Parts: sequence; C-alpha cells; structure tokens
Amino acid sequence: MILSLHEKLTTRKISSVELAKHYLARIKLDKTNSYISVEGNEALKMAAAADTRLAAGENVTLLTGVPLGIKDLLCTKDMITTCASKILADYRPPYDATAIVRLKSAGATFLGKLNMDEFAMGGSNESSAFGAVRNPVNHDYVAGGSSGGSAAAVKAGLAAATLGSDTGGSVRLPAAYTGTVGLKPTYGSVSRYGLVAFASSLDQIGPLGVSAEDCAILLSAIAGGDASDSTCAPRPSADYLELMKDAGARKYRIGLPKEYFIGGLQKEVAGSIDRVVQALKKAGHTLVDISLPHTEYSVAVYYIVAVSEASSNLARFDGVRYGARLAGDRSLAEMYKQTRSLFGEEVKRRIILGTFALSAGYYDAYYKKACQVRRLIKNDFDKAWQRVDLVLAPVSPTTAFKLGEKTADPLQMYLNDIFTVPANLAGLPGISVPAGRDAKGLPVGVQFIGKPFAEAELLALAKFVESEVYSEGVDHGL
Amino acid sequence: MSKFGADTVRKVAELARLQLTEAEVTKFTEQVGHILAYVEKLDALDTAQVAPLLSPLEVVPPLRADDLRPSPGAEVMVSLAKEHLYESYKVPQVMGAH
Repeated sequence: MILSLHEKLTTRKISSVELAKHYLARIKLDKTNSYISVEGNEALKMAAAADTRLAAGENVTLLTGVPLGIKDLLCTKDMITTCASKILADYRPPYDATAIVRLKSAGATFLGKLNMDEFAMGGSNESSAFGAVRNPVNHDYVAGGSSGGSAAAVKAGLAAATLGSDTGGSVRLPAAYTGTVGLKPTYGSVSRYGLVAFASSLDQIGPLGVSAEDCAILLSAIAGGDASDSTCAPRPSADYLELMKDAGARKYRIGLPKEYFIGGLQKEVAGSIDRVVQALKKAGHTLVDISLPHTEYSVAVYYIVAVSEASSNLARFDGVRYGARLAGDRSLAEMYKQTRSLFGEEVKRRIILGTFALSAGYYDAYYKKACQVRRLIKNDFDKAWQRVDLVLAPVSPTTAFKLGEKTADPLQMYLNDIFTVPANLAGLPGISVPAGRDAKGLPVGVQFIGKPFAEAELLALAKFVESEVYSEGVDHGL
Repeated sequence: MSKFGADTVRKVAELARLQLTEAEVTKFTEQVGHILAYVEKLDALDTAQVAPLLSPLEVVPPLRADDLRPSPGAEVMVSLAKEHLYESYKVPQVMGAH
C-alpha cells in the first residue's frame, strides 16, 4: 500500500491533501469505531506541508504524504492522547513521542488517534472508555486488542497504515483477527519515550499494515537508539525493506513448538499453519519439531509481571499534574481516590492484582516467582535458537470471538494470549500475517517469532506467506 | 499461597488509592481470587536456583550525558494540571487535614 501511494504521490497522480481528504471522508462513514479523535485540520496542514516537500523534491521519504493513524497511547503534541481512558479524556501532551517525532520528520500525515483497550489492557478492545471497536470483517465480532483501532483502521481503509503497541500480543492479536499484518519488534528496537507506560519491561511500539512491506517501511522510520529511553538499544535503524529482500533469499530452519499445537486449537487455525508449513518446505526451508516446555506457564507469568508493573506505572494518575481531577476538597487521599475512580473495570482489576502481587508478604510468592519462571521461558527460546532460526506458531487458539462473549470471565480472556505473551516475556520480535479464513469468513493469522533483532527475517517470511500461501486483499477505495 | 478475600481487596484498594463500590469488592474478590488460583500453577516449578528476569535487556542501560536539554518549561508543564497557582500544583490541604 505505502509503495503504491508513494508512486502516486511522487508522480503527482494524487496530492497528499487529496489523499488525506480521501481517508478523512472514509473515516466519516466508519462503522467500526476505530478512531477516538480525528484531527482533520491538522491532517490537512501536515498533508499540505508534505505536498510542498514533494513538489520541491526535497526530503522526500516513502512516508511523505502518507496518511497514518496512531494508537491513542502515543503522546502527540497538541493532539488529544486519551489512552482510551476517562482519566485522560482531554489530555494534550506538551511533547511528541520519539516514534511520532520520527514519523513527522519523514513527512507522514496523521489522521487522528486510534481506539484501543483502556491503557492497552485487554485482548478484545472492549475495555475502551470510548466503546468497543468492531471487526471490519464482521461487525458482530471483536477486532482484537489492545490495538483494535489500529488493526481495524487498516482493514477498513481508514488509514494507509498505523502504529500500535504490543505488551502481550496487542499488535499481533488484532492483526490476526482483522486480516492485517502486525509486527511486534524486539524489546529495545523502538524507543518507548512518549509511549504511555503499561508494563515497561514488555511494551513495544509496532506497525500494522496491509502488507509486510508496509510494516517494514514504518519500522525503518521509527526504530533505532534514543537517548530519551535508556531501554532502547543504542543501534541505528535500518532499511528493513532492503534487508527483508536479502533475508527472503535465504533458507531457514523453522521450529514448530509442540506446546503451541495443543487441544483447543481451532481446526482452521491448525489448517492454516499446515498450509504455511507445506509451502515453506516446498520452498526449501527446513521445518523442525522443537519444544518450549514452559509455554504453559506463560499466561500466569505474564499476568503477574504485567499487572505488577502496571500498578506501579498507573500510580502517576493522581489528579495532580495532568489528566482529570475529581473534587475531593477535604484531603489529598480523597482526591486521589475520587480521581482514580475514573479508571474502568479492567484497569481497576489489574491494579488490584498488581498491587497485591507486589505487597509485603506476597512479593516473593507472586512477583519474584513469576520473574523466575520468566527466565525459564526465555531460556527455552535461547535453547531453541541453537537448533532453529525462527519459530512458526499460531497467533491465537481461535479466530475472533463475538463482542461480549468473554467479558464476564477475565481469566478466559487472558488465556487467549497464550501464544503471544512468550515473545514479550523473552523480549523477542514476532509478526502476525494473514493465512486464511475460517468457515465463518473470519481471518486467521499465523505468527513467526525470531531471535532478538531478526525483524528482517520475520518480515521476509510474512511476505513469503502473502505471496505463496494466502493473500487477504484490501480495498482502500483508491 | 494466599487467603484472598474481600478484606484483602479492600486493603489493597486502600494501598492503590482506589475507591471501590461494594459490588466491585465482591466482583474483584471472586475474579482476582480465580486468577490467583490459576497463577498458583507456578508453584509446581522448582525455581530456588533461578535468578529472576526483570527485563529482557540484561545490560546496564546506557546513560546520556547529564547536560541541560530543552524542555517545555515549568509554566507549560504546570498548566496541564487542573488546578495550579503560578508555577506550582495546587492540592487539597495536607497538614492538619481531616
């Protein structure tokens, strides 16, 4: 999509302003609730500036004039950043996240801020204070979360591509549910500066797009060291579009972890993996059965580590410095409590669980124990890398479920993350790419997980699936 | 590992400065108790000799030079607060409050 738009923009078949207007018109008709805020005037200003660059032929990048949507937990200067929470409903950050600075510098146009689960806590995008996102493929189904708006907007043609974030599968899961491509980069690949923190040792910003190439272009623009984030690896970004071409010419040993192919896997999910396996074999790759024995503990570890970090990170929302503030004139404690009552149910539940796991007398039994098992999960991958280059796995045990189907039982919702959380716990990159549809017509995604900083290999294999196994297709009306 | 009841939820909510309704206390007692029961599967693993992994990046984070850098400035930052006075945040009375 982005390469095609770039060709149209540089040959003046369409202007940036016309392109922005095209997407803004589509957003007006949106039935998926993908956007929390649309910044029409700002988008047209950015597009006009891109047209000036294109006309002068100066500083033109592949993203110049390309309309993007941004998950609403990335700070955007003077644009509302809500994290889908009432507590930040009118928050306008005084600065841009590093990823946003880099996209602006590349000349991209921002259409607005995308819906998500509140503070990225959820797998179905039903915990947003601004309403659930509907799956563009079938409006009765969830779009997945927490970057549901980012995925739905790409699928429904409400942005050329988007940014999301992935703490336990929040880019890959909605990508799989909507038939789009979503990349969770290696922990430390992309600066988290200006990404409102959920779980700081797990969060990563990641691109979603129609194709692996679109994700490569976005990753090239946002990756690379940043002095403002000490957990961002001090290495330069790269041209992932070129790197994935080279990576696509190589043959790989690809591991199939037996723990990911268990009972409960929907038959169409298993079938899609089989088709990918056959195509990979035919193309000369070697498929290897492997074991990641601590996989079954991943969800338990994740939901202690993530909520513990979240309970600490969300302590900052106290009504004093930014965000909403509710009365409580009698005392500071009363003001804190009343203000924090604006958190939604899922956020409160996670703060309760996280505070408990970190509290005196329980820290060793829960948080420390979870971190110890986290190491065993990472060790599993380290051992696997001695035998294979990449891992092929499902993204989710099933395709998208109906809106409201799992909201009553949080644990059932959490168990849905079993195949995505291991990559976050181990800090590894993962990509979700469409590989078919189920009997109800809902998209099926497959996932590749790689060694640290193996994004080019993941992108290359995702492109292989697009060209050799299944093409989801997309219509942005252009 | 735990006796997770309504009193625990109330105590933890106080620590986290969350104001819960009784309906929320009842709901969270059941749901969080259910999640903790699931988490107890980790007890099956002997981790006595395993060092906790707190972050995937097990390196000392690089430090930038401690130089002055441009910032939005105090006036801008304080203006984000719902209540402020000059360049200070305004909060309810702390000393001698109820």
